[in-house]
Amino acid sequence: MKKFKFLWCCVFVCMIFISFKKTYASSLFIGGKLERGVSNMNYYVDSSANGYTSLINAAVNNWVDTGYGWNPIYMNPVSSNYATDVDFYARYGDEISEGILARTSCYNINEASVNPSTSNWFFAKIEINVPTISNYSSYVQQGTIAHELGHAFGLDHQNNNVNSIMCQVGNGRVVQTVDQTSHNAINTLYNN
Amino acid sequence: MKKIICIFILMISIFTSVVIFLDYKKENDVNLELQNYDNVKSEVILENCIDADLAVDYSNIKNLVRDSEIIAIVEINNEMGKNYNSVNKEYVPVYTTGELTIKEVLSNNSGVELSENNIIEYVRLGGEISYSEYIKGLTENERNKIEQNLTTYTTFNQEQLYSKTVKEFYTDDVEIESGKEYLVFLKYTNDYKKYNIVGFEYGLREYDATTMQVKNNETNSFEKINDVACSMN
Repeated sequence: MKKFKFLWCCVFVCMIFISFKKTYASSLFIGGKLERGVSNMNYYVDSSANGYTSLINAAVNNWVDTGYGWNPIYMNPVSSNYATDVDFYARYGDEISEGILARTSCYNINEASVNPSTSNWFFAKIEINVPTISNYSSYVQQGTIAHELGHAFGLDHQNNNVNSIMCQVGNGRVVQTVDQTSHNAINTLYNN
Repeated sequence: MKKIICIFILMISIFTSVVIFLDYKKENDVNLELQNYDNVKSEVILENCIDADLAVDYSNIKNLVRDSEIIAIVEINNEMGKNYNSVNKEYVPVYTTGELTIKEVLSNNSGVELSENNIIEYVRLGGEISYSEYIKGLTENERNKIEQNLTTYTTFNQEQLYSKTVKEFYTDDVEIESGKEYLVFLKYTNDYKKYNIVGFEYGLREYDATTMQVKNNETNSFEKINDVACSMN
């Protein structure tokens, strides 16, 4: 009888753990990720974004070395967008893009339609919306670029956590560098 | 006493199992639905899923009210994807435009009188356009990159590609559909000379006229329009 009770207790604890793990894991990620991984990425900065090169490099370096130990990210700047993993552009958006500091497009290319929440992407394009981002300090601008890089890697918004780089500015993000949860999320996403 | 504890643990275990099973079943149903949707939309050659860093939290309805001039119940007459703004004569990110019919004005501080059955033109970020139009809006090196990827990862030739569709949409946003009624938050834009539906999934909420309820796109449940109107103040 004691064995029976012990067994049921174990089953119960396992089920609770699985249920919590599933909820936690599903909330950090978009669903897909960069098809070729993050350990040997090339990134390209278009001439339109030349004014943001130092901020882009700072955000990239922050992801490479987050200060929270090892992660698989390595990014190499290149002068052409041929076969790159992440491309940066600056745009002068119009009125309907007001309020967007920057946006990341994840490109799924296939012969049939694919669902981005379950499929990986070949490359990501980060567009800095100059009219809106110009209203913020360079520190926030760097945070926005780091935020968009998080999307390019496959991380979802964390709007309930103002201490996460994946929280949006409009939701009160107070950090502009990569946080430990986002760092750990990358390890989870690309080390399985 | 031991028996009671045992039965209690057993009941909790069964309950947890049922919850996990139902969750798993729901997930599978959703996947099946998405798979069917993908089959229908097989002509889409390129999907750009966009995530943005927004300066405004539109999940807070007060921000939506602040950033809009007109709040109304409308019916969408038609919708069409574009990436060219004929007012400023420039290529822009993909947007959807069309006409809508005003059903009821809930709030209007635009200075323009609007009443039931008035038809106005709208714009909204995100949409579907033809591949041939899409590439016209790209710089040369962006276009080369897309074509390089398409020729590497698909078997379509140039002519076949031109008959395909590109879909650009924002994560968690909802697609606008002709014939449906919505609660919308509108702001006139001089860049387009049309009304912009602001706030992504928060500014376009499906309306059920029979129950007078609007959809909450975060929870997928319907809420009474009166409750939503109260929260605006």
